[in-house]
Amino acid sequence: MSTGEARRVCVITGAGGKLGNAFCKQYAADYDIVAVCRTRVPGVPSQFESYVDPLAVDDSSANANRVFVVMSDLAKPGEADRVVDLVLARYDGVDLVVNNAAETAFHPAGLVDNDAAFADFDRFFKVNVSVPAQFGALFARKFWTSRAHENRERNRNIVNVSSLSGNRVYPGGGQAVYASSKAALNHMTRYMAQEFEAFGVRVNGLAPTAFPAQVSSETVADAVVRLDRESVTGKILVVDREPQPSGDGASS
Amino acid sequence: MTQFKESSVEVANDTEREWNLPDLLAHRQWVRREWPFPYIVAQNVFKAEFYQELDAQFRDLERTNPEMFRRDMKGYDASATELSHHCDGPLSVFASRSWHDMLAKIWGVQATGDVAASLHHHEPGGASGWPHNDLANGWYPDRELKPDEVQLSNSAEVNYYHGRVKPETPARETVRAVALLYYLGNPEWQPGDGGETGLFTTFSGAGQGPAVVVPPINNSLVMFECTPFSWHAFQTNRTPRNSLVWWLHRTKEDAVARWGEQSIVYW
Repeated sequence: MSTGEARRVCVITGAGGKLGNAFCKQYAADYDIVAVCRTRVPGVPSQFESYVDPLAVDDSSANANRVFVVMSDLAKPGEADRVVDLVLARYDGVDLVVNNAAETAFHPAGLVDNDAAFADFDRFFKVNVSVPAQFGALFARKFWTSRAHENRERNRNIVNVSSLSGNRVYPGGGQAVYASSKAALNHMTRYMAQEFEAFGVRVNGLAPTAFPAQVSSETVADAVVRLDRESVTGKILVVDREPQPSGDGASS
Repeated sequence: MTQFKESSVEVANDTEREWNLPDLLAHRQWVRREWPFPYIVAQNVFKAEFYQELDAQFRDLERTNPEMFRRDMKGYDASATELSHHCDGPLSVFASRSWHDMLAKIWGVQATGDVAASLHHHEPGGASGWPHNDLANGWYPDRELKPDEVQLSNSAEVNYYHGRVKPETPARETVRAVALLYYLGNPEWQPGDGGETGLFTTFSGAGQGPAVVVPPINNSLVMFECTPFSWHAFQTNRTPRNSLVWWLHRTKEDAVARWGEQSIVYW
C-alpha cells in the first residue's frame, strides 16, 4: 500500500455494501482506501484478507493494492471520533470522504398502517443524515480547518451518497422514511458545502437511481470519482442511467 | 476434526499416481484471512470435471460400502473412514506428494511427508463439537521417504495416537502442522443447514459461539496452521455433512521449538 504524495487518501463508509465493494474493487489501485465497515467487508485484499496463489505463494502481485479496513458502527457514541483518529494516525491526510453507509430498508405498509416505520425513524435519520454530517465535521475539526491552502491544492472534498429517492416521490413503495432522510441529506450537503468553503473543502451529493437494478454499482462508483476530480461544490449529482457513448449518464 | 479412526481393512494404494495440480485446480486465487486466526478458504477448488470424479468416488463409497464409515471417535459426532483405504481413485490426489508439498509451501512448514487423512460423515442433527486446536502429536513408521512419496498413517505397524505396535518397527513422533477440510458429496448447502466449521477467537469464549463459520460448500476448502490458538469446531447440522479431513505434520522438535512442549496436545 503506497502512501506516496501523489496518491489520494479516501475514506469510504459502508465499504462492504454494493457501492463500497464496487468502489474498492475499481479504485484500490488509485487511492489509499480506508474502508469503514459495520458488518460486511469489501471483497478485496486488506490487512484482514489477501489472495494466495497456491502454486506461487511468493507472488504477492494480486495483493499490491490493499485497503485498510476499520470495523465500526459510526452511529454508536464515540465511534466516528475513533475512526477519524485512526485514519489520521495512519495517513498524512485525507483527501476524499465518501459518506456511503446508510439505512436503506423500505416500509411497504406505509406510515399510517405501520408502526415499524416510526420505530426505524430515529435510526434512519441518525445514520443517513447525522452521521455523515458529524463524520465530515470531525475531519474538518481535527485536520482540514487549519489547512485551507493545502485542501484547495489537493482538491479535498466530501461525497455524500444520497439517492434519487431524495428528489422524487415513488408512490406505494414505502419509502417515506428512507426518502425523507435522503432529502434531508441533500440539504445537509448544501449547508456543509457552504460552511466548508471557508477552509477549501468541497461537499457534494450523489443521487443514484436503484443500483445495481437500474444502473450498475460500477457506474455509481465512477460518479464518486468524477465528483472527486471536479471542482464543483454544493451540488447533487444524479446518476439515473448508464453512460451514453456521447454523454456521461449523470446530471446535476 | 479430532481424530481419524483406526481400521484393519486392507489398504488400497494408488498414492504414486501422478497428479498435475496446475491442470486440476480451477483457479489460483485462494483467500487468506487473518481473523480470528490465520486461515485460508477456497471455493471451486478443482475444475468441475475433476470434482465430479471426487464426488462420484465418495458417493459410490457411501452407497456400496457404508460399513467402512465407523463411528468410533470419542467425543466426536461423526463416522469416518481412513483415506488410505480409498487411494485407488481420484481421492488419492490428497495422498500425493504434490498436494503435500503445495500445502507445506503455502504455510511455510518444514513438513515430514507424513499425512493423516480420512473421510467424515455427519448425520443430520449431529452435535456441535467443542473447540480444539489440532496441535496434537501423531506417530509414523520411522523410515526415509522418497522425494515423491507421502506416508499415510498405517495402524498395522504404528498406532497414530500412541506409537509403535510391533516392537521391531521404529517409530517417529510428529506433530500436526496444518489442518485442512475439503467438502464434497453434500446436498447443496443453504444458510440454516448448519454443518459449518466454526472458528473461535479463544477457547474460553466458546460459549459465545464462533467468530466465523465456514460453510460446507462442495468443492471448497478451509485450512489453517495448527497452533495453540487455532480453535475450531464442527457446528451442528440439519442436512448431511461430508468432508475430507487432512493433516500435514512437522517434526516434534520443530513444534516444541515453535510452540513449547506444554502446547502439544497428547491423545
